[in-house]
Amino acid sequence: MNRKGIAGLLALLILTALLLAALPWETRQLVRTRMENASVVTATPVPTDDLLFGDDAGY
Amino acid sequence: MKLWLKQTLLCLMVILLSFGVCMAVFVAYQTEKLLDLAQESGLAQSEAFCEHLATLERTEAINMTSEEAARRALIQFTFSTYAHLLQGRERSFSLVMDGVYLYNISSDRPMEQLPVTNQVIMAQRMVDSSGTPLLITARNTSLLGLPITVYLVEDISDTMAHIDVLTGSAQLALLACLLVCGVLLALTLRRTLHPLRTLAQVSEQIAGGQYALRSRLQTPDEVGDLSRSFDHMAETVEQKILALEDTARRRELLLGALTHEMKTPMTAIIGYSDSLLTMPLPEEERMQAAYEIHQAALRTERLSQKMMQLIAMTDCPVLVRRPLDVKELLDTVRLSVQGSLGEKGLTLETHGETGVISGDSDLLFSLLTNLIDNAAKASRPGQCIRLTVQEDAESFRVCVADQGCGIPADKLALVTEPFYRVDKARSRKLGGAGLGLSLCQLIATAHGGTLDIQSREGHGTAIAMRWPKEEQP
Repeated sequence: MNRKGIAGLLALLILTALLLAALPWETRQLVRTRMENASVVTATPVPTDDLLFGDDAGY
Repeated sequence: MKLWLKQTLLCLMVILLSFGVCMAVFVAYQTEKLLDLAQESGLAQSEAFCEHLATLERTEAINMTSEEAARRALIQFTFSTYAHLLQGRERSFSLVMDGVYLYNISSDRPMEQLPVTNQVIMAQRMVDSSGTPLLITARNTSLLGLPITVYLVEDISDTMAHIDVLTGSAQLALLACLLVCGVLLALTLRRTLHPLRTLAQVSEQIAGGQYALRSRLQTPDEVGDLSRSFDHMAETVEQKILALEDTARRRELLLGALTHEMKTPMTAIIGYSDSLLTMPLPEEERMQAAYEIHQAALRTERLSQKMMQLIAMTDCPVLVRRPLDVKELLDTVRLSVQGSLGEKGLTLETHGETGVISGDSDLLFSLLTNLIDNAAKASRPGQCIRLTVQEDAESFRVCVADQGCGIPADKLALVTEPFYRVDKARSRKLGGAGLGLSLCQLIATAHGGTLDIQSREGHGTAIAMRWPKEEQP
């Protein structure tokens, strides 16, 4: 095999190694994002205009 | 680099990239899903715990009017009871009221890790506690009129292990795909490109001189087309090389024969001229010597002319084909040969003097005079030479027949070779060089026709040229 063949094989090996390393790196990134950002549910104050009283309330 | 290896590497890279991207998307999607499931599970457990605590408000043991300290104590007691029942190694509950832990057995301070304000209903966060992944869920609620925050700290190592297994499986799948595709591609491409290797080997062998070799690949694809084109090219090259070799061989023979033929008259010229210059000869012998020198010179001139004609016909047979009046052609020929025929006591009979034929007048004249000259050399005085011109639907035919000595059957195939003479001594004596029939053969070929020689020894010879009416492309 000549120099180009060896270079091609090396390129393939490097690509394979990169892809293999990319998978765990990707999952770690996802977990890290979850750790950095808390999910928070906040109580939303209801505007008084939206509240229905009297006959319009349907009682 | 070999083509099969280059193609294999390229295909593997494309497959690897495509498959790698697909696997990355799949793993990302599954990871997100697993983390979402863990969070939903945490929320559900926290919700269930708060529901358990809410049952406290339905008991009559205490009411809203009781002392705050009593309500706080009851909440603390109830919480610890439920927490004791529900928590384990993987999860623990904590109770915070007014920023103070009323119950906490976890070493990970959840309130500090996930502080929540009064506006927050619930919050979640993943943290890493000394290498252990934890999910903290906080929920604000109100119990017996007191605001409390319930924390759930859950170990999600199982979820992370699940994600790691998923990632490992994806890596294995990627490697397996690389190996399987690599082996299959290499085998398939080597098999597919095998005909090209055969073609290259045949090409090298042909370049080495084996011109008769052919690849003969019969695959119904582009390689098969290439093989057929290659074989066609090899066929043409072989024919050209054979023709060139034949021409070279003929030229070599011609040159050798010419040298030999020139030697005879030159020897005569040198011998007689030497005698004239060095010896005092009587007048009669001097005249005889001069005559011999003249004859030798004439023979050399004839030889030279025929050689020039022969070379011109061999190298570049320029054919000017036009309609010729047969009578006019035969008259010209008769005029040209009647002197020499008359000297030998021969007569010329012509047949078919009407009509028009198509051909090169100069070449046909040369052909007929050569054939009549040969016939005259073979004939005895008093005999007749017959010249016939015929025409049928597709071709013309001229024939010169004599009643002379004829040609032996085993020599018939050789008489058109340059400088070949059946009877060398007699032919030289009569001034022949053995080039006449060679020239006739070339003239026939130039017209796209053939030269047919029929002869019986002792009875005579008939030589006919037949050529097509339509000019060949």
